[in-house]
Amino acid sequence: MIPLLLAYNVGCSGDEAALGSVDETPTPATSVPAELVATSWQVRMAKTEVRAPFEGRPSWVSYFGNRRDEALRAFKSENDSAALARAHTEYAAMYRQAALLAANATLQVYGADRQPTDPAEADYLLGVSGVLASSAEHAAKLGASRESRAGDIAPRDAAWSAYVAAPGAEAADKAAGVDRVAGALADLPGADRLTLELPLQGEPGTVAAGDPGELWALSRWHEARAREADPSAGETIDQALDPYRLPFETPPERGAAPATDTWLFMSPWSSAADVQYVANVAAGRDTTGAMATASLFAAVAQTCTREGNRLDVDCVVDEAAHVGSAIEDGMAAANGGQPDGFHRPFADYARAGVLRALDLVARARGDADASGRLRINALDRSLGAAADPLFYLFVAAWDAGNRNTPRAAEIVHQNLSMLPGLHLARAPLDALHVRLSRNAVPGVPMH
Amino acid sequence: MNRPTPGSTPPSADRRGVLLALGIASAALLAGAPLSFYEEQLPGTLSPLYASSMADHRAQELVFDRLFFHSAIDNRMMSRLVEKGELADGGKSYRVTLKPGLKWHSGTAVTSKDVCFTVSAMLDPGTTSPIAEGYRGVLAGCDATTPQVATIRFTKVFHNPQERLMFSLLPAEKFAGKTAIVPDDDFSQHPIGSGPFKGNKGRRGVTFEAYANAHHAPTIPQMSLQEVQDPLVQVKTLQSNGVQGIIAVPPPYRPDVSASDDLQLKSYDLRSWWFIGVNTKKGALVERKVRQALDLVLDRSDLRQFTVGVKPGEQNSPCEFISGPFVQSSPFYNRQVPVKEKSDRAAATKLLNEAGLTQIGGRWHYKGTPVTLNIGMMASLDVEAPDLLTQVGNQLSAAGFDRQESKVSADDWARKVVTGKASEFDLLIGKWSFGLVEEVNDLFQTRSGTTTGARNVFNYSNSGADQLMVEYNQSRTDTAAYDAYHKLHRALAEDLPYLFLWKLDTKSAWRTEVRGNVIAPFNYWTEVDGWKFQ
Repeated sequence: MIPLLLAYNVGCSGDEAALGSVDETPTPATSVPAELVATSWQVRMAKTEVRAPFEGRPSWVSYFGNRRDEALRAFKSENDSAALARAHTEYAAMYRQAALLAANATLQVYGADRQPTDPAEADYLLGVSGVLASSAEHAAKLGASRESRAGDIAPRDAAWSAYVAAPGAEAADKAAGVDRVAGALADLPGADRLTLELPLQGEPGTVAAGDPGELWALSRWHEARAREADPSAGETIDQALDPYRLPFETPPERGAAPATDTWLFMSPWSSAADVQYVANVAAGRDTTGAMATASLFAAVAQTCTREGNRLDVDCVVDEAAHVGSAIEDGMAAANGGQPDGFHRPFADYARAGVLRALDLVARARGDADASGRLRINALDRSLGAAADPLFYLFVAAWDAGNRNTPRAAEIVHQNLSMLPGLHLARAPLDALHVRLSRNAVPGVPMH
Repeated sequence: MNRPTPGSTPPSADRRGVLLALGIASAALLAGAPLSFYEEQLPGTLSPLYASSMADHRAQELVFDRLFFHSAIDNRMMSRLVEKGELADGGKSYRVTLKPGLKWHSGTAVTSKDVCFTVSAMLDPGTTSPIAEGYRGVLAGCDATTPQVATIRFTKVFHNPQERLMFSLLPAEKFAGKTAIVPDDDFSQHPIGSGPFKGNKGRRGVTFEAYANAHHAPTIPQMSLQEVQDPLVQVKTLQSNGVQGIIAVPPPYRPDVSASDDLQLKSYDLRSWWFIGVNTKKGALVERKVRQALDLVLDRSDLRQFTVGVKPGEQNSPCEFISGPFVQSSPFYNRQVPVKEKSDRAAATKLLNEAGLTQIGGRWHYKGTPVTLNIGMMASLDVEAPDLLTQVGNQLSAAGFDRQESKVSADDWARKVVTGKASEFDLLIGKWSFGLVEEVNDLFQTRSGTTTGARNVFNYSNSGADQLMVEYNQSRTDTAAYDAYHKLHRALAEDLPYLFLWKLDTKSAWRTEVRGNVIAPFNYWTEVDGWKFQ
């Protein structure tokens, strides 16, 4: 994997050796069983022969650089249908989080902070957001815009009203207009989806609005392309989507699905068992005890569980570091005892992954504070190649719901070129930011 | 260690000596010594009414309580002081009941009189604080009905009153009832707060001693804020455990920090953008075309590469060019105004000729005199963008301008530059940082006491821009505010009181022995009670 190694080594070269005085305190050994570390994709793929099918391919080089758009197209060019299915699944997950972001921002700006001058069609936006975020109170706003003359709001309102009357996956797809999203397997549609310019009430001007339903449509389109790319991977796709489903979705019934190296390579989850564990906790099934001997992340959860089923955040942070070090040691051992330049960035996926997984465990256990602290720690650990845009959007959606717009806006801005439909989420987020900013005490710039 | 500039050299013998000494010192620091960290600069004041730098603001967060604040985890509105809060007077007032047992660092009780004193101090026109000025349009007064209960009156009904009550609490007794608080009061050096730490500002640093209180239980007994201008020394000292944290790690040093198991990079959400202020009242810079030419002379891509270490075309760079007074991710940023990445000497020459400048012997002359640009830079910026001052000077010199360069101390920046008294400079390199509120009127509006343009560095005045800022202030809808600032962005990008450079994200680094260290957006230390140093 020469391009990857080059990218990493550049950051580590220079005059470090000349200075010499760096403290190299040994990292304590992980409390996680070595046999689970050995099952991680990082350790298994430290061996050249296991990594060979991925080596030197433009697709994975792009993926390593978090250029997911380039990676998706390259997977198609390379005729790697399994990898293409994974790429489309991740796009589906990203658009789900974008939809949640847009819905959360809409619920804040046109719900909690609504102004009399806001467009009448804000009811429609609230209604769709309410559907996606499972807020019956807001979903009840649907129908109020059926007479709207702004753009095509009236038919959209009618379509989502029909969904509320008879809900279901197909009805949601119909309401969102999934069939109107056009594109082939190597395409990334979304740029043509326009924001709505809605007239203010009693004041001149319009406000740009993004329909969260359109982002749902883009997500479902990518999900369908994933299934088209690899029809045999249906349950794997479902499982990969589970941590990122919207509140209004019902996860499909299924058993543990396989996750091959194509699905694990450069992912935050270290093994198929981790993927299954994460999918379980995301669906509210805390299978820590049952999976602690199979999943590295479940083992960490078990180690760090304290009285009252509470996760010890400091313990998790330490264990995430230990897991990373143990994986690096394992990779070196698999490489004849020699550390290599790519070992650390590969282990970084797991350092962030442990924190991301246990954030979901804390949430499943109803501990929002621990969940939030782990999420922030995971963000801090999501560096370089491990800076997964999907996780960033997951954080941005959370931020929007928390009315924490500056970080969410930055995340959206950084990912606009990769996710062509993301501008639809920016519109309500911008509206919320401007509103919160203007409703705060005037700030003073600091030098 | 990756050094950013092409001409970088290994550390000098002097620097090696410093690093060696720091390594020896680190052994002693492991045995229960205070937690030490490097700030960008020493705070100029610990009085929360007069914070002008982020270093001021952060230090004050350790010493004072804000009446209300947002959680650094999930942004919930919280208070450590208020037990109960309720609307009163039909929503035009907010009644707070203080928690019992709260103490000032002097040992006396925190009471509702202190709440009302703080409100009165901010409303007193004799308090010449831009921060207080922001509250004057919001707060109308305060009544202390019992020692625990204060009713704060607003100028009108606000639907989110707690958002308007995020000021730091001041002790009435320290000021003996005098509500006109001036910046050079002794309080700014030896403050009394009710926050987690007692602060004491010395000449070379600030020490903070934990103060156990009914509402605070910091586990770190002592903290020490220090300043070192060399980022390499900062990072090496952190690696050798001579300090435990660095508030702002320059981008070129981040890979080294993130590659260490002993250190962790931490995101610090802060909206900061960098600029070169232009003295529009001086010499050739009076001519707009000259300012526009300077804008074209600058090669921002080279500046960024040679100072911040970002290579051309690098994706998701921590340093992103801007064309106006907002970061690109902000809704107020006018995305129709393009950034200028590369220099365009030919276009610059054309503009300079049109402005009446002539080139003699390769040097530009204005009204028969060679143009010499006196360039200053906020000294602390040299940590985040080493050699920026020199690089800017080199580019201007290469384009035919003579130049003088000097660094401006934090104290002079606060005292002279921000107050518009640094007219000897032609250009000043600085940065501004913002939280949620991104209002820039203080920076560009015509100065009038502390009411408008309070941070207008060269006393820029443009009636068109003033009108747009008035429109922003008076806008009845978000759309109108948004439109006003988009127009302002375009107007400033044409008139150029600033040459806009870039947004640079901020990352801290902490040793992993420091636990629970959640960093609050903008305010940084809000969650310090939960920090542990083992």
